[in-house]
Amino acid sequence: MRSDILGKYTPYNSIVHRLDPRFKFFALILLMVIVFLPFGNYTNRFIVLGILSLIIGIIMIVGKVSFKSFFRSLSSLWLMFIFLLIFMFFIPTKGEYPIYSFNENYTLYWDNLLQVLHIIIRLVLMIALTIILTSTTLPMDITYALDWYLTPLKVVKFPTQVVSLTISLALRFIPTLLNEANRIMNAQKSRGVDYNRGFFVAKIKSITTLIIPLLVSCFSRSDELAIAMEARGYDPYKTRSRYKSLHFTYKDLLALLFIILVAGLVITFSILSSTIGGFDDVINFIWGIKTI
Amino acid sequence: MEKEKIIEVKDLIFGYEKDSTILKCISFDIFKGEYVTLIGHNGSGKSTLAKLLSYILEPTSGKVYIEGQELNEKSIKDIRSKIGIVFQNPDNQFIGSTVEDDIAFGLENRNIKQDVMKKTVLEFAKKVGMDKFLNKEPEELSGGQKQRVAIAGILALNLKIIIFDEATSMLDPEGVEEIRKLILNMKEENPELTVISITHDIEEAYLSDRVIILNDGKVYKNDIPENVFKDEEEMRKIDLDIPFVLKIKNELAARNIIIPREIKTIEGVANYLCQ
Ligand SMILES: Nc1ncnc2c1ncn2[C@@H]1O[C@H](COP(=O)(O)OP(=O)(O)O)[C@@H](O)[C@H]1O
Ligand SMILES: [Mg+2]
Repeated sequence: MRSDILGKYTPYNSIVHRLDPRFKFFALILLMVIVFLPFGNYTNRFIVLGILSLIIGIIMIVGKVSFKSFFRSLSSLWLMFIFLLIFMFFIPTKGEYPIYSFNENYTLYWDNLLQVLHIIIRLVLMIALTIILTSTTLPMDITYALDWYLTPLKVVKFPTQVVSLTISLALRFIPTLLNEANRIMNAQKSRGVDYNRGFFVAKIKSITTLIIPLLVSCFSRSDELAIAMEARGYDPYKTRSRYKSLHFTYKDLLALLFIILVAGLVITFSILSSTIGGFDDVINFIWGIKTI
Repeated sequence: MEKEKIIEVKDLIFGYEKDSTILKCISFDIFKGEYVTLIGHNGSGKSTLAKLLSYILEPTSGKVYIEGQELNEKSIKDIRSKIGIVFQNPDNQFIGSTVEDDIAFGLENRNIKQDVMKKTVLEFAKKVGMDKFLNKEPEELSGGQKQRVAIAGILALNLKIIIFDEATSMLDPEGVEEIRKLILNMKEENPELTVISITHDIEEAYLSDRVIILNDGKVYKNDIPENVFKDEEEMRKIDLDIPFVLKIKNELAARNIIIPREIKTIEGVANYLCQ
């Protein structure tokens, strides 16, 4: 089992690493939303997605994100991509450009292929965005950012510190538990359990031999962890100081302005394209405003 | 010089369930600056006793005093600022996501200011030799290193008593040696520090100031190591071995070669014989 499916923190010192995690978190959400906006026809969509891919690609290079781990994360999605490609044959569409006419009732159009491609590109971009965040930001810092966004909830006595500590503990224990799962699997394999063979029932049976010991160890771990925390004076209802604090610098401000500019342009384009039409029309429209 | 009592346990009784008691009437004192080892076979209640001493568990009856102060719900905050535990499993007591975060955890709980905290974390990371690893995550560390981080986290709190609950039993031989040395260094640097080490390591017990043996829920022995391990047959009866050095000394004594009591290591015995 791998622990770097959605990117593992890589300790470089790039500008992307040094940006405020609160900003990175915000930018991630904003860009994810933008990727999923409608942009009218396919030409529009691919032009916008192309530009966004370029920007995201540049951020990945600047942030020294490992393309290897990126492609590895994608490889866990190939099944889904194939499924989408097969699925495409069954979506009835009325397109303009046929690829092949099987008979008079069923024609495959380029539109189907474009649609699937569109979905895939958006998924890939989402994964890229997530990997940028996770590989340039310590889990602890992501938690701090989350904690900061939850601060307003303190007014209604929502235990934000408890939530963020719980999340950071969960993140901290993911690799430990994956290791443990590996160990249990090896132990069971040596006792003759085969995790790769067999169909549904056999698979479930073999998975149980993994899940049950894993759960048991999980509970005993959490028990010991709670005791260790208590012994070191943890009290969820007391104010705790912070070892690290977040700093929002002018670099973050510049990055924020840049992201907002990009988002603003894309959103404007999305609105225009839905009210006016194709890319050419939008360009003509903007051109028209200028010449007036 | 009159030794100052730091822990006083009086008629302590405890059971996890009502009808079964694990500790049956335990009493002992521990003095300031002492290095006491607590031994006893698995399930004899050593960990339970450690938890009772820091009030993670509440006694069924009986009392525990730390520096004369009775342990109870009210004194809990004071107690936690005096006594700390290093547990057995290096993974399950690593709370922070990196070495520095983990050392800082206890300080954060005490609401220490950030700039003070930064200095303290670095200081104690240095003390346990982990200052080069501040940004490392637990997955990248060996068991011994994780235990060193746990010790730093506890030393940073400036406690008076540290309990090691089989802190080396999950480590490889190098890790065991690392931690053993660290404990001795700690004691040397701060003679006021009281150390209670729960262990299966008879050799370690032999080097400590005093040995307490728990058996069948009672204090079976409570004396200096020489006296505790004097009778090999008696130790066998409660499934305990005696230190290797002592075995050699006994064998030699049977041949009328008496080795002085101060000599506690194999090398020491060898040197003495060569003289
Ligand atoms: N949380 C618990 N609940 C119930 N029984 C426990 C619990 N922890 C330990 N015990 C029991 O208490 C006894 C003493 O355990 P422990 O103090 O861990 O022994 P030791 O540390 O000497 O090996 C054991 O029989 C164990 O099964
Ligand atoms: Mg124990």
